[in-house]
Amino acid sequence: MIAREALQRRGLAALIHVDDPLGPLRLATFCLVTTGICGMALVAPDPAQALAWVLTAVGSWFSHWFRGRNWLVKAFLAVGMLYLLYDYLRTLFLSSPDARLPLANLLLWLQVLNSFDLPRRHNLRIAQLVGAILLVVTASVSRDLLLLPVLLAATVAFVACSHLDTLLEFPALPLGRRNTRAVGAGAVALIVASSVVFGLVPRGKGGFLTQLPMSRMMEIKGPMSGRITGPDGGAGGGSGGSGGGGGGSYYGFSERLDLNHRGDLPDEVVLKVRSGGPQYLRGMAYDTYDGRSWRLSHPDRVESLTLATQPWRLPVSMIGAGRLDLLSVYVEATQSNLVLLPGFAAELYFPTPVLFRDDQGAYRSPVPLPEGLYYSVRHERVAWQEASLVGANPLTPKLRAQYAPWLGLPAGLPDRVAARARAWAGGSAAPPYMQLRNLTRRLQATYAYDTDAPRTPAGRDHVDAFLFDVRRGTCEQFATSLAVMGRTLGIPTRLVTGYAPGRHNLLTGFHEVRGNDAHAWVEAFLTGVGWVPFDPTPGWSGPLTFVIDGGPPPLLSAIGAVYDRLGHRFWFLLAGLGGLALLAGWFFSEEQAALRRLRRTARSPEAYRATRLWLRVLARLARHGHGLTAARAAREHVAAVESHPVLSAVAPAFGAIAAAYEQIRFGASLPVPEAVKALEADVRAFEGKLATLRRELARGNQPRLAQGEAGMGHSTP
Amino acid sequence: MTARALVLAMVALATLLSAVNVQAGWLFVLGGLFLGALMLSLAGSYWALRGVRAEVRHEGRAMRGEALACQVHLRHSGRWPRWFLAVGGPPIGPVIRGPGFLFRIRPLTWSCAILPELPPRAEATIELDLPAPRRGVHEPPAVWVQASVLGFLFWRRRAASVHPVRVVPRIHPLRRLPWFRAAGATGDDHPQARTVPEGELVRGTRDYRPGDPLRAIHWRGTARRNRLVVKETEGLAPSGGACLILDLAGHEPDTFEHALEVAASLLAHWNAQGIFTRLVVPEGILEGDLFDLLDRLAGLEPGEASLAPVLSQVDPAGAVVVSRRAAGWGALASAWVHVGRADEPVPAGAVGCPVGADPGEALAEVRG
Repeated sequence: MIAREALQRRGLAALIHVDDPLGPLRLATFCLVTTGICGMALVAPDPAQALAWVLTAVGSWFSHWFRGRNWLVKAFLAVGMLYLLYDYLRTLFLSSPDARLPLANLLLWLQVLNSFDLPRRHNLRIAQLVGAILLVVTASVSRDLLLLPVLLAATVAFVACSHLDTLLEFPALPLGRRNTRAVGAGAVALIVASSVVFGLVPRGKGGFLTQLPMSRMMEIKGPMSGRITGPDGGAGGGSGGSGGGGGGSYYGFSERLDLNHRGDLPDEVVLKVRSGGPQYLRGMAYDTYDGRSWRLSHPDRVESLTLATQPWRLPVSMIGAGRLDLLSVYVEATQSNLVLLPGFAAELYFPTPVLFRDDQGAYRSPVPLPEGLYYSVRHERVAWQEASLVGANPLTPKLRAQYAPWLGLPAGLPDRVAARARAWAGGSAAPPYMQLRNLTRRLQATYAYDTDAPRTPAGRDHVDAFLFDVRRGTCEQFATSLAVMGRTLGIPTRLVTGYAPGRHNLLTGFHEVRGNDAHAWVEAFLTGVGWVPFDPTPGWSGPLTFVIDGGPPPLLSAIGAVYDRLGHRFWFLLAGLGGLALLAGWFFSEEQAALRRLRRTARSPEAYRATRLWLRVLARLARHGHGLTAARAAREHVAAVESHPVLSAVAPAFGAIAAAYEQIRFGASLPVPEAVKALEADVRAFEGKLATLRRELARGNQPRLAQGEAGMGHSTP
Repeated sequence: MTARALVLAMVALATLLSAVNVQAGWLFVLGGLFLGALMLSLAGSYWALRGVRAEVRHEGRAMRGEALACQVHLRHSGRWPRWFLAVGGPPIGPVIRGPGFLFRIRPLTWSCAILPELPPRAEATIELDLPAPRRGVHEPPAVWVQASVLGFLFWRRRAASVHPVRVVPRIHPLRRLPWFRAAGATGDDHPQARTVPEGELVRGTRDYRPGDPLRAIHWRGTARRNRLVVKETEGLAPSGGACLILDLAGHEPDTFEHALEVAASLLAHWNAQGIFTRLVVPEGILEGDLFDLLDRLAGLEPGEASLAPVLSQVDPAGAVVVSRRAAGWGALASAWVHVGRADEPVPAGAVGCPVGADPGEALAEVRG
């Protein structure tokens, strides 16, 4: 009010129009945009967002109070928009591999500018759309449940916007409790309806279009050895499984795994994995068992890989369906430098220029994986055929020599271990896969999972003690037993450590992997197949499943196939189809249909053109407050304009146009093209007069168009 | 479907595709929210109209350029209240409706009104004024009851209405007609009798006409017939009356409409003066009360049919011709009103009433 009075004192009252029917809608739109900004602040906090919110509030206030001429403001806004576009493109092409947040920033600041642009109703709809897109971007990035209250608030604001926008279509109604109740009931109903849709929408398996989130490239300083590094930067717990470098990380992520070690694994989320289904993440594999621990036979045998452009192409050594799925890993707690990958990874988008690979097929980063890092993997979706696994033959002598490192047994292994293996394997004539499967089942059925199992006494073989004395243990004991028993049967095996899939959060869509989801399992080499995972721990499904996945629904598969064929041009196709849909919507809209009908029924093309010109004039007048709500004859329009407090200045010119239009459209003789041309010239002159009138009004002057000046010499042939 | 619904559907589709693609749960939530809004809009709007019956009542007659006052009567037999039901309709006349699929919540040129709340098992009446821009006899008004929850999609139900609408020519108030003298009258345009003389015999009764003295009202007949009835006495009855000859030939659309307005204004003026009036058109000589004659005017179309066959039956005394043509009307009528364009010269002996001029002003001038 103070500002209003101050402006009135300075003679600027003409700029102020406080009778704003859009006020409530403006407020609701601001609330919706606010929820979008809050969502962004949750996933990517930035002080600029607070500034954007404040500026949006100021812009909304500005647009509520000042709704006069704003050409100067528009000029500033245009410059601002150009700068935002430049900044977006610069960010996109120079430094960010993920376009979502820069896009969200661009939209955020565009709507800030829009809020200053004295938005009318359709501009407010654009602001609402921007708010919705901000929420979409937020939802695609968010990994926790804090987004829920934001979405609930956004639901209420969305309903309020829709309700108020609908009411504006009708004669004004005073706001009251009835509107509040309608918004409240609508919000509740919408939450119920969206919950139903949420439950019914098929999820598919994802990955039919490639989206590859990846952190910014890490800067690597200092020497890079390729050895395992713990989360704290020290050796990766290699000294007898001392805890994997501390920090509660898994002791299996080290160069030596002491089977007598018992560590406390935190019940906290360490990774969040987005994938089409549960996936075991493989950290590393051990090839040598010495009776007490597992270790790498050649810890220094590490291959250094360098890369100029992403992605890393990884050798896939297993059979697979050939279909690549996407998996993204978000590190929530600092991890060792082991790159955790699903089985059969084919392409890795990892933000370092260097990677290391050991002789067990495990990959290592030059530095530990810091909190906040995220990377993506495209991996083969394996459709296991049990028949092909059963058909794998025992090793030939040549292969036996080649895979000797994975057949080694400790010297002091008691014979009863091998005897137990033969007894449980189902006979030496059984295929290797069947032998391992039988062993797995017997281990799962016979022994108990117990994280507090007693340690193996010194001098005893760990497997022998587990099988015959202790009879309970953790996943390492089960996996070691299977691996060793498999080796006694002549099947190459190795112990693998990594993470189980964790718990799937339905709302966020992430598999939340906790520290105590660290796991160990076995990989066995089957002739003609490759390394196949087996998990003998009771209660764990293991990476090897026989669910033959049917893939995403046919429609999504078709979309994926089109995408595979078109690559990034797919997005142009999608944009084109969207544009076509909008074009079709415009073409089949009610107004266009009416115009087509008018064209069909017009008595001549000239009459149709004259009608279009007439509608154009009416639309121009409508911007100045001339009502279009009731159908009127041309003369009635003239009478209304003559009695209009402002438009009466141009009434003579408008009357001339109306007379010419009537003559062309309804006159006794068919119109000639010259008449339409004359009408067109008159309409252009009339629009010029309207512009002059608007400028005069914007300056706060009374219209100075004299009657003689406003009229025009219309020539009717 | 509205444009907003189309945009929301595209956003929902894009969100759900992204959700399936990257398996982002929040995107499923948000996609469900957008899709749920569309479903709620459709299902909620359908539900809001369930149990609501609508009926349109109107006078059946409107003046061209004015509005037809309709009462939309809503009756709700459901259990829950209905909020923000809208009624609306296009202007009276032929409805242009294309085969499009994008519609507005409120189409342009439609008149609409909104009912904030309709309680359960209640009735409500909404006043709705539908513009009547075109003269003629038209179909019953196409009034719709509409519900649009959230404004994305809507359901409409046509309200029941059976009576056609007659849009009659506009009637302009006339002050005086110095050039007119009714047949048998002694003054210029004064009524034959404005009072009922004492002791005069009552010939009969007839419907009340504006201008009839209150003392002439026949109260018993009024009570019996449930409408105003006046006593027709020797002094009240016109002693000859007026005859309006309407020439339909030689017109263009605007002059024709103007001629009808002039004719309607004259008929109404004479009716108010208590002058018995007849209307002469090529089809014949029409008699009746004012509304009968106006209804007849509502259905007239321009044509070149000749008036000659009927003019022989018309007494020139008290006859007024409304025409654009100069066809020797002086011998056939006592007065001639020329309706033409403003730039057309008024023929000698005619009263000029050009298009765009106020008949009240133009006809009050003394014939030159």
